[in-house]
Amino acid sequence: MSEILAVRNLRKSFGPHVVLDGIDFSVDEGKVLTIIGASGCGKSTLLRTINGLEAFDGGEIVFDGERLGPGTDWRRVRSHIGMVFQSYDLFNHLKVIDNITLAPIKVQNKRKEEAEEIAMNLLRRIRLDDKRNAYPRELSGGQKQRVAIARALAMQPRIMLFDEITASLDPEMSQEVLEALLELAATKMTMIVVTHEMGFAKAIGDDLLFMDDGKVVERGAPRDFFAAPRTQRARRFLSRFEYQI
Amino acid sequence: MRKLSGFAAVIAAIIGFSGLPALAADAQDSIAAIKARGFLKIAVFSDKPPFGFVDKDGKNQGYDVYFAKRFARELLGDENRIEFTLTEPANRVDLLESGRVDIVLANFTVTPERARRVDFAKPYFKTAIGVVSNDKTPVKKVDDLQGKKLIVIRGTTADVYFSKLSGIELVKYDQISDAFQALRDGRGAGLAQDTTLVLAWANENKGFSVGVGDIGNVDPIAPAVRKGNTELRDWINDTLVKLGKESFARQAFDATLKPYYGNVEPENLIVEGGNF
Amino acid sequence: MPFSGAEILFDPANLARLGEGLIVTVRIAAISIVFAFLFGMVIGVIALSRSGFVQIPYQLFLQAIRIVPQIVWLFLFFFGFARLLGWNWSGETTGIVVFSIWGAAEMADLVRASISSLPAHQTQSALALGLARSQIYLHVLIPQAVRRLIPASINLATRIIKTTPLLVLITIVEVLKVGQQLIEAKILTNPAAAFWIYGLIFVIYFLICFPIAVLSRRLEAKWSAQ
Repeated sequence: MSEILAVRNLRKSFGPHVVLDGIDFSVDEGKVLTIIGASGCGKSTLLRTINGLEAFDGGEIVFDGERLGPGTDWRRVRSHIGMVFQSYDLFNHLKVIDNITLAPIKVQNKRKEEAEEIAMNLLRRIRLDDKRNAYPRELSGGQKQRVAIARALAMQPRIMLFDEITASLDPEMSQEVLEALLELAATKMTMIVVTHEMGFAKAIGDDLLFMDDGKVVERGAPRDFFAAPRTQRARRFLSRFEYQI
Repeated sequence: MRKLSGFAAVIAAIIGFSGLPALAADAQDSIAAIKARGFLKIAVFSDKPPFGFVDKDGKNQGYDVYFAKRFARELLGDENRIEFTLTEPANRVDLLESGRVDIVLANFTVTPERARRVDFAKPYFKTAIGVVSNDKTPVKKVDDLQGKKLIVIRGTTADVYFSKLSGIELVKYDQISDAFQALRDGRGAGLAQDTTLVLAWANENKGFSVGVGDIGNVDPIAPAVRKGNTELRDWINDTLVKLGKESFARQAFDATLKPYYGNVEPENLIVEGGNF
Repeated sequence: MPFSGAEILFDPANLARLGEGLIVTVRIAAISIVFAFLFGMVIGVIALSRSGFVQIPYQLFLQAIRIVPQIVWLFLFFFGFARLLGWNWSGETTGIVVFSIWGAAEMADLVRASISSLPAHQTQSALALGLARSQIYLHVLIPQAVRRLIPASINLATRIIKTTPLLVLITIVEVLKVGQQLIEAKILTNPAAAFWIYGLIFVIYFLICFPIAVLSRRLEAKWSAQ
């Protein structure tokens, strides 16, 4: 398995507040990395530094053999890194199909027919092909997030980043989105999934990072982590979820 | 009208034109320049009959226009060698200062304030306050109003003038039309307003006459040129004197004002030969 | 005699003159609105920059246009520039320039406010897809902003149309002034002229502004269905 993404000693501060305090990890092609941690631990910022939405202060990010940083042609890199956010971020003025084909047509210069064919294949995979001409406001929250996933996948990215994409959904809708992620993982798509759904983190990940206060506190196989967390901080974090389950 | 003129002055003050040199306007309105150009640029009203208005054929007419045409004939040999610019009370001074016209002939009352910014020639018309009254109870002189009610329009020269006199009760209206209706209804012994207006109204309303037409300050109305253009001002003055010898103002009155004022004696209104 | 004086409306010469005035009104307003919307879009997008080099001139421009009445700008451009700089622009040119600048300033602020009120995630997710800034404005932000802009920009267009009577002060004879000329010329023989002429002009303004209002309502209805 070849390494597609490596993050070494990554540091980032907002003024005096240290958000990322020397993060190290790597992701192999075809693997799923889950990141958990309390809100404000820096996991969202970490994702956003990987595709250049956020600059970093120190350390390095190597994507597919290329060092990323100031001077990087982020547009080119981003077209290989898909990202889906927590908030519904479909383009409200565009139909579902046009949401998905916009970037392939404008960024990759694909012909409309070709982009639409890719889009329809993706819509069939998430079973929303009947919504091709719907506008975002006609979709449920879960449907919107699934279309957002399809929109990112239409760029045929090397890696997908998911930033708490079920956090705004009620449990039933979360379920359909999480199932879509599991199906995607089964296709050997490389993914980094930031989530607060512990059961899901246990089920999907090949590898897991537990972050606290800008640091990676624990790293390992999800099953081992949830069965026997090694650190006090991880135990305290997990205990908070027990009464919820 | 007076309100608008005040507004124009405020605007000019904001922009700060006053006192600044008129670079562009210089020498474009000298008599030689006008002759070379071949036509006079004259500002007149387009909606103030009988002084300056547009007739049904779209042609400029009126007392002011009558003078304007004669000036063109005297200077250029043809009364049609004029480019008329439509003016409003609020922009007469600016039209001259900016050099967009040579002469303003737009019922322009001479005031000290205006005379600081433009040069007035000799007058060709004058205005005062007149009182129109019902012929059954005529008001022939100001004393006839003692102990009676007088209708005025709020904020006008007549309002200001009669407010200073004692023994006359003022009934004030905001709208001219309301004020005239009040006179018809007998809510006052008379109505005081600019002589020109009461004369025109009395002419149209049988049973009413202007018994007194020269109250208060008699204001001269004169052509105006850009400040400092003494050459053109002197030419206008000489021309007015010359025209006085043929009673030109009287001819202009008969041709333009008489239909509006009827058979009144023009002495209270016209100025012949610039002789105020 | 409920219709006495109405004959003033049936004189072809009067109607022809009102028509000429109307053409002047519509021509100046229409050209100004087109320029205002075009420049307003561009300036509004530029004004989204937080840089002081953009914000300071932009705010000065916007506030100057807003604080100083349009009539003063008309005077400045028509009389002031003629006097101080020797620019003898015609009244119509001056009117179009001043109304375009005024409209562009107002439109720019509408565009700026409208785009910045869009959720930040619209830009973020477009960036994440690899779209360039210019593509994001063109395909994501401006199309959504325009939908929000419709009511306010229609309001701006009708304001520009309704401000055209000010142009008489820079010697332009537009439809309302023609109306006043017709009324005053008949003041002694047809006291009801004002009623009929102003009535007709009311109808004319309504006929200009009403279709614009209808169009905007249609667009709003269409887009709110999305």
